[in-house]
Amino acid sequence: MIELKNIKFSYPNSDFHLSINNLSIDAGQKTAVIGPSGFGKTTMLNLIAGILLPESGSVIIKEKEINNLQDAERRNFRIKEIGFVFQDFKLLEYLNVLDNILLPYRINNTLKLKDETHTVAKELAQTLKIGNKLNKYPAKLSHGERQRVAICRALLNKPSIILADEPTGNLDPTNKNHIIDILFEYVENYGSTLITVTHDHDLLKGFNKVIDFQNFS
Amino acid sequence: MKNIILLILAVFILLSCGEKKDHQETNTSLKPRVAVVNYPLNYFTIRIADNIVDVVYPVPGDIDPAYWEPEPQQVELYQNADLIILNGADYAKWIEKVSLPKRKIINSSLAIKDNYIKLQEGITHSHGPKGKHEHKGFAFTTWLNFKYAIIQAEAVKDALIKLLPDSKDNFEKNFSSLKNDLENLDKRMSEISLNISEPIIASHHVYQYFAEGYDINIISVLWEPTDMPDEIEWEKFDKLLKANPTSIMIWEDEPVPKLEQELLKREIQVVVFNPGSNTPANGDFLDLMKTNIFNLGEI
Amino acid sequence: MKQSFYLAYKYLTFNKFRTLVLIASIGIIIFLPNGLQKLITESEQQMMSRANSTPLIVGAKGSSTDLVINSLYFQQEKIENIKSNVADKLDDTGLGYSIPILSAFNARGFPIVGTTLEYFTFRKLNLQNGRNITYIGECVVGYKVAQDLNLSPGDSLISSPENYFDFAGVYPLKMNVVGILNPSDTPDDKAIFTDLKTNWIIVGLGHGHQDVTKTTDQSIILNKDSSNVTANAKLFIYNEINQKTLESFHFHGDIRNYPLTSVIFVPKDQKSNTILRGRFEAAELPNQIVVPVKVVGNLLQSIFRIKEIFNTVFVLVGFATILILGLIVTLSIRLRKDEIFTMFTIGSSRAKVTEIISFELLIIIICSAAVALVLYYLTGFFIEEFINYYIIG
Repeated sequence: MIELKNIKFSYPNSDFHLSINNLSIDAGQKTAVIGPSGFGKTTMLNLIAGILLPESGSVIIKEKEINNLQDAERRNFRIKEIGFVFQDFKLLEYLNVLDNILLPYRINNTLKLKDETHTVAKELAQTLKIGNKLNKYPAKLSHGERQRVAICRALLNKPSIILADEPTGNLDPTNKNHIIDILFEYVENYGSTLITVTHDHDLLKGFNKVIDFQNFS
Repeated sequence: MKNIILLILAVFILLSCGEKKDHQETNTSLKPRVAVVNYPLNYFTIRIADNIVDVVYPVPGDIDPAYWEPEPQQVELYQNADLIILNGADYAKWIEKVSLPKRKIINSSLAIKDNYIKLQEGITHSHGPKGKHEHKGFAFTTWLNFKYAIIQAEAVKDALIKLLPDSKDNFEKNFSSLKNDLENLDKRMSEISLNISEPIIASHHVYQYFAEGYDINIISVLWEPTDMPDEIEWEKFDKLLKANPTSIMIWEDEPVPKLEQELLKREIQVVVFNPGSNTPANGDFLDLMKTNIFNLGEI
Repeated sequence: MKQSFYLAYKYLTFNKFRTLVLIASIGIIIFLPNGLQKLITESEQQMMSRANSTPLIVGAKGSSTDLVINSLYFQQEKIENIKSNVADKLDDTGLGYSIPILSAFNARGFPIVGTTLEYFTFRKLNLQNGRNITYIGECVVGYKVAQDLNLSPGDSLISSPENYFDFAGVYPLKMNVVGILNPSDTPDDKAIFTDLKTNWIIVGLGHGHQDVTKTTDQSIILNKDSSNVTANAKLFIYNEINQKTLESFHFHGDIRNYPLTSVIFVPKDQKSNTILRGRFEAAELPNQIVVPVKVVGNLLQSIFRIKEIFNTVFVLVGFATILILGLIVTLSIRLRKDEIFTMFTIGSSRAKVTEIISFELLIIIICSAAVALVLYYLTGFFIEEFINYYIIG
């Protein structure tokens, strides 16, 4: 269960202000967040992930008020519970597919990179049909392939919450549906909570809940 | 395992053998080596040094040392010597064709270099109208003037003392004995020369210092004791004889009987006066010179 | 830490060109002052060692630096000649012994040094291969000469017609290589040693030809009388000394007047050294006597002054480099903002990102140091060239 209560947030030296009175998302739900650009949809995802901290209000996930945690605790929570998928994939160009998938294990001391991790990563890649691209670099992949790598990275640690910010924004229709199907399949298999920011109304039909952000901020 | 150790040892030994060669071979014998260029110096050195040094004199007995051309390994004997004693007066043309260590060389006749006798005989050459003439050279049988022989022997003695200062007393003693012998030769020869009033014809140009030292008029031809001169040579000889009447002709070696007979026909007596450049068949330098003086004295 | 190193390594190897440029430039910056220091220090050591091992040099009056450079390093500076009897007169003093030198010619770019056998004992030069010089016309070559020209005993070398002195003529001579010296790490490695008389033959003071006093070929005779035969220019002068021609070789004029470029004098002891120098100062002896250590020391002083200037420049350059490096790092982090944000997003701490970037820097610095070390090592091979071109050139 994710709850945002009386959230107030603004960026320094900016006119942007975000106010969320009350927003809750049930566990295991597939939630789409729509709304015009600049309304704070991505900011909300970052608040949920604990990357940004509200000026006031609470972000409660699994009964933990994460905005009150220490930096390290919040980071560990993020590592353990949250998988992020970005619109522009955010792969590291100098790492091959396998290394990109394994990146969380290389940048967090709490995660130990073992042989089993490699095995899981390869299986995940196989499942997402990029198993034969493990040695390739992002520059050599199609957009769809790149997004699948990003999804593998996000799902490697079996997160309970998946935050996807415009995951299909740069993809063609075939790949869009495919990516959404992958995310839905994961959520259904593992009971994870999916929160997807999207502009694509064609994809909304599969979601349990659609939040129009215009009504919130 | 044993074979491997032996192989490694063999390789090690072989590699050690291929190492540095000294530019100058070290003298493995305990005695210093003294190299000389002719027999008189050989004799003087042995008389003075006795057994204290090893004397190196590689010239074969049948070759005139003044014209000897050494092989490389023979030159090396000189290069590796601790002392090299030259005669001086351009003796041994081979010296200017080889490389010898300069500081080991002494010129035994340096003290009399102002008295070297320039050669009058022979033809020099030069190059171009203003070219320097080839050096005619000097007469080099300096030891035949026994006063000069003493000077040369003394130079040998001084060089030996410089080489082995600890043996100075021995060298002085031995030199003293040699000097005495040479002085006796000089004295006897001086006495005999007083009785020689006529010129003497010599078979070769080798008696210049002898002639000057004992005030004897010696006129030389260029005859070999083994070769009978031809008619033209005899004609020249007769002309020479007419201009310089004499009954004595000195030879380095006994001429062939036919030649001697021809001379006797002209009432010329043959006197063998061996310059002693190289090792005599019998006796030593002193014996040889005594015989020479005796032969001359008998006339 | 292992993972941070891995990511740093991956980043650097992916951006190969950028990484190599950074490593090369930092490596060169680190190397430059150290390399120059090494060049100068080792040059100084080599030159002073050579000078230290040579007690005294006697030569014609004039530039003492040129005299020393010609005598020690065989650079054929234009110096006046002296007569060979200078060596004899020095020996006659009884204060030590002389080693005459005539260094005026070269063969295939290497100097020909005419001297006596004492030179080899004095310089402790040993034979690697072959034998001593025995006859005129033979030569023993230094290790590098043999290597560069691919020579071994039995080969030959022809002296070059160039002449850096005022000799009226130079007669190229085919010299026989009879020995190769062991390496000595001195200018002797790059010299061709002959007997002094061989050099005089190259000058034309000695030569070999057919016996003109006995020849029947009148076309080579310019003039003839009862005591002398004058040959004309048609007479063929042998340009090689071998078993056939050796006997014919002879010298013209007085050997005491033959030229030398200098004489190395080895005094018996310090007292003899002082006495001899005193005699020159008192003008009892003509020519000049120099103490190589002093001359080389003076020569190196000017080099040291330049070194100080360079050191100051390098400090400034180093400081500028650190500033530029700092700027590069800052700009790099700014450019990689997205990448860093991604890492934060997926769970990295600031410390971890700092660790990764630090490892990148560390790898670059270590590789730069390695480059600097290699360059520093290679500098050792150029000490001679440095001495030749920048100190005595």
